[in-house]
Amino acid sequence: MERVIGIDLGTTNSCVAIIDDDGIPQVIPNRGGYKTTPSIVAVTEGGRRLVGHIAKRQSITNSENTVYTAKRLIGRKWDSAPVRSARQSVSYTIDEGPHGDVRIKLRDEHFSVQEISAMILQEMKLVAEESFPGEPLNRAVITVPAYFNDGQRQATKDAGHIAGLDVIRIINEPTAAALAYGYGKSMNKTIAVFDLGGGTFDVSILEIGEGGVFKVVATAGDTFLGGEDFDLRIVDWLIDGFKKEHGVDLREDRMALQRVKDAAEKAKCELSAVKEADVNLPFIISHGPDNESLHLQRSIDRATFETLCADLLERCLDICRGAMKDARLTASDIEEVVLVGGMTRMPAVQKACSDVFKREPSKGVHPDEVVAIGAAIQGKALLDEQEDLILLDVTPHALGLLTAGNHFDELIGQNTTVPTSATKTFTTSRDNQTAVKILVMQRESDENQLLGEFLLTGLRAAQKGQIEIEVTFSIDSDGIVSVFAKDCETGLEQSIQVTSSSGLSQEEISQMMVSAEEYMIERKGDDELEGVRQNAEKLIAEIEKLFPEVEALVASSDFGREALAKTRDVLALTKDAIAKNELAAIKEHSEALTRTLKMFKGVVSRPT
Amino acid sequence: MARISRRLPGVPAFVLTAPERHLLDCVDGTLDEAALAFMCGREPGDVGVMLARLVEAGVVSFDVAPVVQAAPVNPAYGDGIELPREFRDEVDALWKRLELEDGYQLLGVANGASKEEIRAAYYRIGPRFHPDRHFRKKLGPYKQKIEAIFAALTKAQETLRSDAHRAGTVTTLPSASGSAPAPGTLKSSEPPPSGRPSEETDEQRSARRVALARKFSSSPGASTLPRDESHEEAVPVSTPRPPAFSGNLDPSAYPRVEGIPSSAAERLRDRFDQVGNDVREKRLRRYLASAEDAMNLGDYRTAVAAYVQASKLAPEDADVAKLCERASKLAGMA
Repeated sequence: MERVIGIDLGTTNSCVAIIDDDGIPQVIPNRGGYKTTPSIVAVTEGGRRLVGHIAKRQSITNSENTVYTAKRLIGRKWDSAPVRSARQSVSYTIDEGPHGDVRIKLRDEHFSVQEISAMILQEMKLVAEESFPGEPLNRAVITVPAYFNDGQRQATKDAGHIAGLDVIRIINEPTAAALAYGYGKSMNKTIAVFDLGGGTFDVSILEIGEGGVFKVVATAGDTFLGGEDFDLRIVDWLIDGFKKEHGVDLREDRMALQRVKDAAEKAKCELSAVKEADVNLPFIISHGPDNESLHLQRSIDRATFETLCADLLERCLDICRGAMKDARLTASDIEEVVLVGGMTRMPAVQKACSDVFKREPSKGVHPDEVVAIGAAIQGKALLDEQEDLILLDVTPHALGLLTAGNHFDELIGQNTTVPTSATKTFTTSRDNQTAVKILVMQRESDENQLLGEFLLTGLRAAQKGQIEIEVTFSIDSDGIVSVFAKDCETGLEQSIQVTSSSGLSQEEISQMMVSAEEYMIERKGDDELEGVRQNAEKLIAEIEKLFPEVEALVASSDFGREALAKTRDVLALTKDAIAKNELAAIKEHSEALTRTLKMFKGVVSRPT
Repeated sequence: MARISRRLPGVPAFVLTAPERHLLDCVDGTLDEAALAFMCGREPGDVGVMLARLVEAGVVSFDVAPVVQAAPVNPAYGDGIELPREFRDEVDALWKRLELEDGYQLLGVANGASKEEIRAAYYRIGPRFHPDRHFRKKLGPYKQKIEAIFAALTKAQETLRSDAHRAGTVTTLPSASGSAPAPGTLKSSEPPPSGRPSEETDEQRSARRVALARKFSSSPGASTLPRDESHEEAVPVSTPRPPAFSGNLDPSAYPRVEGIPSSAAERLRDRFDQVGNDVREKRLRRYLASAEDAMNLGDYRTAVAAYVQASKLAPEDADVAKLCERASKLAGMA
């Protein structure tokens, strides 16, 4: 059976997992040995694309061409509030795309957010493939925040397609965490998953039943509440303090701002372990008539930090209370609390969480890795018939129609288990109305978002209120929304399947897929060349080290002199091939060099 | 054996789709559902739905409830659907019973089962009917059926569990809450149409019913049939979808299936009564409106026909009778 990889495409870090041959879920480390990879993409001056740690390391000196927290922009419109605020706070350039979507400018080239996410997904796929050489790993389950709307989910799916992945399912991050928590254990429990990640906050309440049933009872969240916001509180505190002291606004210098951001994140992480953290940024900015260098040196203690972000914590707690209310449960009904996301390492977050659920959170899962593991488990459960696991998730947003007077009429409520369907009868609002427009809406907080629209025409001209139209909404197990309208009198029917509102057309996606694949082929070629080159250089170094010794031993014979001359030739040829980046030639000469080295070693070790 | 009797005489014109008309032509009073399906070349399940619509329209009636049917012969085996035969039969059978059974029956638990029993039953049965169990398999029409069954089980489970919860509240707090219904009068065995079981839905629905009833009883005359104010501003009528088997059906015509507790039967009967009244009211309104239209157009004969139908539906309504008389006089003059 083909394996499925589970990818946690995070706001700040991503992670990939797989189920190994023994049926045990494993997180796959990247080349550097890290189990998570920063979700950062950069393009260097030379046009080279960098993803992950390497992109993060160069972000200070190349901040204008380094994209981070792209997940906050995915599936969003150019004129939406989150994008507007991001435009002011990020160091890279955001432009408007052809469909009112968001494009990111990197070295004169525009990329859609989906493409940026695809680059990260490609990297994760590569990480997995390096651990399972020779095995195609094309199928993936990707996770998204539970509170993502339809457009954001679709955009994530598109990113997967661009990366050349067969995205078999998009699942919710807290649900994935619950799967990882309960996998392989037989239990009958109600649990809460508290997921405070880099950019989003989710809380889900689930029932885990015998027979591997995971049923989500309620889910709630905020797609703009995460570790990044906690960082920003420290950034603001530092910058405001600096301004008061020196009268200089560090926000105006992009490099300085990036340094402050990095330092703030570091201080935040330190404060989870120690009571006080130092921020020390020498030569942060040059200022004044004599270009005087200024230094940022401050220390922040845990209590100050907790005061700075008290309102963020309160928002998390409100969402938790809302979820319990939706589930019609109280804190005493929750038997276990699972913490997910790096931010849950913060003591104040843990304390707040145990306050609201009135119990100590479980420490059994790794907050950075559970989500990817859960995704891998779901992938296996879907394709493997032997696997007795079923995930019953809910729709996080209410679905309905917009009726006369811009009134949202709900058909499928929030937290309804999918698949589901609902039918309601509507009527005309004007006399002699022969057509009705069905506006399919999704309600997100207090805002309504249009998912799709269609017309039902050919109604009998009658007084208002006489024509009855039956509208049926359904969501299937893949989360696809279908809407069906029927004129009860004539039996006329009209329906739509609500698909992609991710902001990219099918052609664009195909085009992006092709260029992503081309890049991958090129990159794999590069990787191979790099490997072969390094190997050849190692051989050359070893041979050259042994050369004088061997020369002294064999120079007396004709055969020896001939062999030495040949070796010199091959060495020269290999160096030449390396200089010219000729892959085939290096490979060929490497074989000769390997033989030579073996011979040299034999000569040296022979007892004289 | 379920037999479908001949067409009932004197039924009003009713808009039918082509397959429904075809089906209606085949109904002869001796064929059962499976045989009809075979004759029409359709899935038995689809035929079940169409028959339900015909029954609702009052065009045909069932002699015997279709629940006690022999396993249907599925003509479509070997169509590439990747599901085991037994499971397909099970899905077909359950899908057809979906509208007829209450939550307890669907979940296979005793009436008044505890929250825990309901939960356990749902976790045992529900996942079997989740489409993920058959991920990326060719399911054909079974995908929809499985999803419908799953949704029904989920709704039943949620409703029953919240009912059990509410009942529990009432027993522990005997007279604290006046709004909570007494345990014996729970009547939400039918999954609410909105998909979310809540007290409001029930209350709203009964409030609407009361309002409708008042409107009909105090109607000053059909020519000035007052519109429901709430319908005017908010466009949705939010009539609950009538269950498929309703209309002129007499619940007493159903055989008493053994094992159904009497309170469940009472709830079923309540449900039938309510739905029957709703449908009658709706039809009455429709007839009066179209009669009025016809009168305005001067088409008195149509108006008379419509008023006759209306007065049949509301025989005790003097206003309707008066209007009917006036229309027939006008028709006679013309």
